[in-house]
Amino acid sequence: MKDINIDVKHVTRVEGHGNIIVDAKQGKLDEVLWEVSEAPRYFEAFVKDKPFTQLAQITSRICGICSIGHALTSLRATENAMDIEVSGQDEKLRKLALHGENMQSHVLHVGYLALPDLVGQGSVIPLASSHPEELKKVISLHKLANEISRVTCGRTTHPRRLIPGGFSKLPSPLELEKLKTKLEESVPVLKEVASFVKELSPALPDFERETEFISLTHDDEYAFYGGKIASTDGGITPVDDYLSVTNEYVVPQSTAKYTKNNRESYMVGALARLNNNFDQLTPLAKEVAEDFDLSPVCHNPYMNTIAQLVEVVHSVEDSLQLINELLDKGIEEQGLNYQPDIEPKAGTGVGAVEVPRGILFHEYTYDEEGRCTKANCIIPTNQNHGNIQHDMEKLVPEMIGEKSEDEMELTLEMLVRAYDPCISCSTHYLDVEFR
Amino acid sequence: MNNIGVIGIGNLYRGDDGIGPKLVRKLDEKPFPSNILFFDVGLKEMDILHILKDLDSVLIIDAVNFDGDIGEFRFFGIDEVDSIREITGSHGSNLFKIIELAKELDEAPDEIIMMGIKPGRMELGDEMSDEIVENIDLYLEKIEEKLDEMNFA
Repeated sequence: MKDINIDVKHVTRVEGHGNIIVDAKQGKLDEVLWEVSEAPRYFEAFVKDKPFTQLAQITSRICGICSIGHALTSLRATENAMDIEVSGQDEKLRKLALHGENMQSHVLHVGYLALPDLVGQGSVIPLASSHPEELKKVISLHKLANEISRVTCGRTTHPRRLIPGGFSKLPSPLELEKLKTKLEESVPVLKEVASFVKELSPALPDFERETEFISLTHDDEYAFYGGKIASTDGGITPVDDYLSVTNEYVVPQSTAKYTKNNRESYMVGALARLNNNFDQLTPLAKEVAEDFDLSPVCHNPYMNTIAQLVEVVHSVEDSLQLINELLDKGIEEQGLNYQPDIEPKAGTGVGAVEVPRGILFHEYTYDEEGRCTKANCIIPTNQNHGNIQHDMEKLVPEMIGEKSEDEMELTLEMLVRAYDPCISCSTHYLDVEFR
Repeated sequence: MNNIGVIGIGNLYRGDDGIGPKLVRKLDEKPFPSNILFFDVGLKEMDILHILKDLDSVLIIDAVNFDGDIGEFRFFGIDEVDSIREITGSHGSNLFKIIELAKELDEAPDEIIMMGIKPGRMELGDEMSDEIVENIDLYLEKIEEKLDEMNFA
């Protein structure tokens, strides 16, 4: 049997840099590696000695995609450390902001990054001529998601209005009304996009490996904003004990820390949330999931992309519900550039929020002046690296002798993309030669 | 009246990579006719898709590596570029591909002008190369001249 040597440097259509290496001789697998060459970011050091009022602003810069999620996780850690209360209205608005970001990231992944694999293309561009109307619908959903972020946070990324104790500025009822109309108009568009993806979904690899799925869970809702830590292996862990779940460790092939809980690895993200909280999805989201035969516990990591699509539907429906509740009660008056009167105090607090790629933890310790003395952040993508590695270890032997080297390479790249990893933020400059 | 957009792209915390957003923010503080709109998209290049759709012409300001000195700038059209040697971007996306996508969907203006500024330092932090910092007023002046041309073309 032919030897196989796959060496993919920098998997495309993911955020940051990760490599895939496969070595097989005479049909026997020698090595399969998911390598992550991520540079340290030092955010935990940046925030030391900084006042509690600045931490959410600083840590939102960890990621250009999940900046709202980082800001909210940071705020929850700070608010827990100092027993700062947040009103029911502001919690609803924060949940709405999180829906905007979740939707924005998922639409980008499903529509621009994963779809090309399902139509056998290397990028989204050929879809502009083969499926222009469908692509325009995807773009309109992305725009709507941006609009949710703008209305709630004042910007589409790196929110300025999210502050300890609430918001520095609230959206007006008129802005919420307009957003509601746009969300209502998006429902038929969502249905059309879902059926378009359904048509293409047979191209998703049929691969399964039993693993553990970890996400937040909440008695009253499909958990994004707070709750407790749930595992499909059973057991509920309070957020304060997150380190007993994450158990970080280092591996030689990666600069990122890996994590494990009950098994050798676990998965976080949309599929983990859906597997733990399926019954709390909104009606249309559940309908879409059922249309794809997606029900808990699904052990096919490629279905994470479909779980993201289901969550987009959930986010639209739940956003409508949240806006209705906010408008029914009326938005409270507050002054311009509102800053709640907070007396800082010493303490430690943990924040846990579900961001697009999974459960995110921030933990801070503050001194009596409200300056940070210690910080720890565990991001979702790092919690998935171990699971990607173990998926590859099962998947590659199944493909040897069945698929060509090119097909194997594509299937492995699709696996990495299914996890939608966000390895690190990079620069964006162009490098050109003029005629 | 034609809508003219000025879009700044880049990471403000990666040295010279942030020159696009920095210039757009400075321009946005100046008085311009109401048909000239400013957008700082930061790292979210995909957002350009939503912006191009509503514009009649556009000027995109970005750090662009070409054979020249640090701080040197050029206005150019995308069709003037022979090859893109290496592109890095969020999710492997890149500006020219996003513009191509918008054009394929018939949702991009005919006139898209790039202003490329040759970067020097791209390390973490907001400190820019001296060659760029000392030219900021010149860049602003040239952009205003270009916008005049575009507005009265």
